[in-house]
Amino acid sequence: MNNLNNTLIEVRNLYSVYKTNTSKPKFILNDVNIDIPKGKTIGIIGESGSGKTQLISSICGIQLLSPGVIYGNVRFNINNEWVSVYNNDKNSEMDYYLNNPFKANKKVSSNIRSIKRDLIGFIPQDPKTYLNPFWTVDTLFKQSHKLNNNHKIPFDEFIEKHLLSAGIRDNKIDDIKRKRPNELSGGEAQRVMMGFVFSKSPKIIIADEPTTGVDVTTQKKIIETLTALSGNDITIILISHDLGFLDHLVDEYFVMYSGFVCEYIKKKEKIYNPENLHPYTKKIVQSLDKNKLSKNSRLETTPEHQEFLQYCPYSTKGFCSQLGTDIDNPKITYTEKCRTSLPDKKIDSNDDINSWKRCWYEK
Amino acid sequence: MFNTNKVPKFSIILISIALIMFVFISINYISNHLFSNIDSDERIEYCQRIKMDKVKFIHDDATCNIPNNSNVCQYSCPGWHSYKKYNRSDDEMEYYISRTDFTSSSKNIIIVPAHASVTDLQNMVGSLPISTDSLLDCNLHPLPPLTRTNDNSTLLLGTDIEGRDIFRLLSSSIFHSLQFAFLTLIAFFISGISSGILLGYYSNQYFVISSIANYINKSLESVPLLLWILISLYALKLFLPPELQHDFAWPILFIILGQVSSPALSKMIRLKFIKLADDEFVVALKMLGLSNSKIIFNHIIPYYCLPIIFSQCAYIFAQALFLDITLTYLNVFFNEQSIGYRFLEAKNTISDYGYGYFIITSIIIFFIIAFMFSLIRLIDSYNE
Repeated sequence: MNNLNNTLIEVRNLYSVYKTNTSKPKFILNDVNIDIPKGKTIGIIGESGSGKTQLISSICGIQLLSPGVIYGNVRFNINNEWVSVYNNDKNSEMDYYLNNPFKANKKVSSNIRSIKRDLIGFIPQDPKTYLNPFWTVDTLFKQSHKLNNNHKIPFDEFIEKHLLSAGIRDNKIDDIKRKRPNELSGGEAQRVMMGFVFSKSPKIIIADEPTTGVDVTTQKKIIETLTALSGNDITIILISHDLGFLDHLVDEYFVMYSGFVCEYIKKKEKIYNPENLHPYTKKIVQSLDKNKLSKNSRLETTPEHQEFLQYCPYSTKGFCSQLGTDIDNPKITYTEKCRTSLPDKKIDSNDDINSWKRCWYEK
Repeated sequence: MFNTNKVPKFSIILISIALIMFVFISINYISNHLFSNIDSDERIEYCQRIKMDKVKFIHDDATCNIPNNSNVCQYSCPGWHSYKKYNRSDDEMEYYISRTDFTSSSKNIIIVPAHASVTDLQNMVGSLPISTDSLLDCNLHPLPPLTRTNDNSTLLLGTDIEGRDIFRLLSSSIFHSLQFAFLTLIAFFISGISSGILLGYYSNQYFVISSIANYINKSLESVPLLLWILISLYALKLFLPPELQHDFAWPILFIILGQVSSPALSKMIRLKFIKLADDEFVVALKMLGLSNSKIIFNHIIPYYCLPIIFSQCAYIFAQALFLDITLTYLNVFFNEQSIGYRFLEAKNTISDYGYGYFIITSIIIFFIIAFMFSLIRLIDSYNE
């Protein structure tokens, strides 16, 4: 049991699986065990297709791909009481579900709806597709005004306040209010979405790649807006493949690879010293500086696996070959252990702040 | 919302005409049934002073003693002539006009009661000398369109041979038929939407139930609509108690029509939901904590399914009216109040009514159907 005071979301043995055309189901999330602390800005980093968005959706009780199921334990700390998202799983049944994933109970606790409505604000990657295409910005905020404000302040004041807080200029507000999502530019849509999220006064803000597809100036404004929010007892979860963007905002990192959270970095500074990092994280960090990324150590795409991997996904296709050869069999370029079993959490022995990685390899 | 350039002008004209007609008929129906409580079958009392110079007398001895049935002749009453029965407005009794004093120039005539016995008639019992000015002819039906009645109202389409106001009769029948069409629509709407949602939005969640719903839909679709109707008719005649048949068979038939037609709507709604169920827009709504029912009924149906629902409902509406007309016309099954029955009546009595009634009924039916199809075209333009 975690400390209720510090942990906001506890995720244990979370799997997300969906049916494919082949007989074998595809696992999008694979044995995810993380704790998201309160009041911090968390970065979830990983390449496209690594399961970052699915992780967040699964935490919120949403299966993005259908037909599919999510099973595992996800709990929210609401006023120092644990509220579970999934009703189904006991750890003892996990092995059974791994072999028969679609027999898991698909029901999501009804509590999650009120959590999402009252506590979570979600900023999607492309707000234009996330907003009701028939609604003007005005209509969108009217819904929020009805739900969250209880008419304490007049609507005009309400919309103006939140659009301003999202970085929209005063003289543009009237114009934007009348627009529909398809009439907004990428940056405007992103900020309207932010304003809408802020209007809910959420305790948790989740931003899924908020800077994708926007120019550098808008990126800067988004960073400024999010920076202004951090430190206000709001937990911000940022999902991105852009380590450069996350570096401005994030306190702690989770690194994902192929549906598998391979590393947790509690101290941000650690990322500048990649020696002790997971080999995949190390490559991401190196990729920031193209000069350091040698031809041989380029980043590889996520492998297409169809079934539950009972071994480290990063060991497939020889991605970890740089680690050295197996002691007993020098012909094998990666350790046999990586290919036969899923690594457990290994708390960094050089670190006194409980960062961990899931990797068998030790220097 | 509407791109007016894409809306066909013909649709707009047709819809406008049909709407005006509908409003006009509605006003008539409401004023007759809600405020005046007049029965549509009620005979219009329209009497005219007899113009004696235009009365053509036929020597008809037979009718003198059996006034209500001129075809049965038992007695001979020489000296009596009759052309029509006349009503005297003061006591509403029917009299026969005596020949004795009657000429086109006479000021007074002697009349005797219509139901008088032969002996009374021969002895002039109950005879009454009256002024020819007070004689009224109340058997002038069918009246031509735009006739002004005695109480100064206008009979827009005139009357039929039984003295019923055609416009009132038609508007009542249209409303009657529309009620059944609405019944079909409700059955179609509820069944189509609920099964569409179940098959599209909840198919993964309630796999067994949605599979059963899918099977039912496929079964309904695989049998031709006409066969369903005939089976239903047969079943209703067989199983529904005779005393209930008059009131319930017709509505039940229309509900069945809505039900068996619903797979068409269900299929379209299902496709829309399958397309949208994993859409980012729906995921966003879920992320906002909206319940499934709110997502479905506040967002997906009003913004994505409404044109489909409207066009399908317009089709089914037209279909229900067609069914009414077809079944009545073929004399398979009918309701005496429906527009179909008016159509049949007009066809059967075409020589009595003149062609007007038939043409008017046809035009009204045409406009109802045209309205439906124009509405569909309009909705298609909206979709584009």
